[in-house]
Amino acid sequence: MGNLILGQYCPGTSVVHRTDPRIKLFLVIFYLALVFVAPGFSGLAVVTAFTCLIIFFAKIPFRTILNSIKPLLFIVIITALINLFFVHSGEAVVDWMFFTITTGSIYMAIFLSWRLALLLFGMSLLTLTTSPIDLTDGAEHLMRPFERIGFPAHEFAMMMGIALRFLPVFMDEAAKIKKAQEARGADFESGNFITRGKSIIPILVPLFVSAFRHADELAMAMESRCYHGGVGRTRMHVLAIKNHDYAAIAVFAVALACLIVMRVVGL
Amino acid sequence: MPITFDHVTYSYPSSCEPALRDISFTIEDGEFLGIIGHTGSGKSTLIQHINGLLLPSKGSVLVDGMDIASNRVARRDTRRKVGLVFQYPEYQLFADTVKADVGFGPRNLGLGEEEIITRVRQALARVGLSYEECAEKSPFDFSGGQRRRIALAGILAMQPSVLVLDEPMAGLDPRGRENIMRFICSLHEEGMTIVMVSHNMEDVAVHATRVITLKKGEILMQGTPREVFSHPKELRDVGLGVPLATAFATELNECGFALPAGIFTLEELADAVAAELGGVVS
Repeated sequence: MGNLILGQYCPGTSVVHRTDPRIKLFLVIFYLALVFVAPGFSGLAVVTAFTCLIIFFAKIPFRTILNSIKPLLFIVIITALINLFFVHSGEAVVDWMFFTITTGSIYMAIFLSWRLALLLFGMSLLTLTTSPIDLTDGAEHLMRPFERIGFPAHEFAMMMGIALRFLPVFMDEAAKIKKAQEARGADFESGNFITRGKSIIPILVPLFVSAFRHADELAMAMESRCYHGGVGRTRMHVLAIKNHDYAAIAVFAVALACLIVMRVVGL
Repeated sequence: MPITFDHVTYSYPSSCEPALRDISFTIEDGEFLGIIGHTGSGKSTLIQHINGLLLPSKGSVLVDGMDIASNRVARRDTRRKVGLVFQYPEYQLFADTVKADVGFGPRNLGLGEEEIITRVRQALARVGLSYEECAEKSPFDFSGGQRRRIALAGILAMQPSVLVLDEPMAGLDPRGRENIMRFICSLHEEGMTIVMVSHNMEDVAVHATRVITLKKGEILMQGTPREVFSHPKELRDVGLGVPLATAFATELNECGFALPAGIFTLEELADAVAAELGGVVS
């Protein structure tokens, strides 16, 4: 659990870090489009190259990113396995008992898990280069149009920000509680599915208790600083779109254009 | 059951700077070892090595001469004999009754139901709580200080021969602190080996039989409280201090007094000053 840094911010001053959070959120959606438009392996290769370019500009060590998506890697693996065994198209490569692996299933397994891995990289890059405060700021701005129909954009963004902010705290706390229970002889490694499930209770209960305690304390701290929701609240850092933000949009647009052309031409 | 640290180095997987560097010392039976050091000096990392929660990257921890890193049986044995009380132990309470929570450790040891009840009863009595009154209550119905005592009982119920405590008094009011401190001392007097991490120099100076000072993962000084606290300058350099009475005695000596070394409490200071001035020593 110690290396789980999903959603954790990795401070820096790179261009990617400095990009306006609103633009970044928008570009993440753009990035999803890139990944889904990409036709075949050649398309994914282009998106991969593009992702590497962003990583290079973000000046984040590759290992850090890899570590951040490690906990979700099992989803990629499961996707690959399901496709490998349940897609039946093309010629059969392996046909043993009820396991049938075909050329089509191998293609789908690689294609979909590659696509999923790219999506994870994209998401991880967003949270690694954007502080939770910036992220919520951006989200709040993007959701503001919905306020007209009564959607509490500010409150929603605040909740999201708090959740992101406390994720690493709870990770730490879970690790600590686990150790404390281990010191009392708890065994989390052995036993069957059910005993293992039960053995999690001594971690979960204190974790929930501490979540409620944190919530109480935080609510008190916010109230004592006169927080009363979004109405009439001004901000210290007003977001402004700068030249490198336009450049970022342009780069993404070019990438998307390339992929659409590739798709149309049928590469 | 002496526990020996033999050139222990430990690095957390996420960082390249080792949290402990070449630590060697031995915890002797029946001693009261105080561990002091600035925040981030590796105290918590160190104590987690005592019962094998963390295993050294280099070097070894020997319990009864057996390396607990390579020997699984020895490690399990050590977990039973070394009770580790983390900071704010009340945050690890989880069961719906005090009985179940205190009995968690003994149950993990695989003891029978009757033996568990006996141990829970003893442990609760030991921390000054009545089994009849609290056994069936939820641990969350108690005050902060009482919850800490319940958590302590949870460790004691495993009947360890070594008790390791990480800042056992943190966040308690003066009376709570005093109660816990007195309780730890009585355990020590009964023959239990105590290892205590503390930020309170007075507590360490008065109660510990030996003190280890950590600085950035290395042992800066070790010795009796008298030896360690006679280096106020070095201690101040690593962000620590000396007991108030010791500091005052040092200043008096600089002004021409000749007070003996090793003054840790106000009473000792008063006696020494009185003796120096030819007054009555109580």
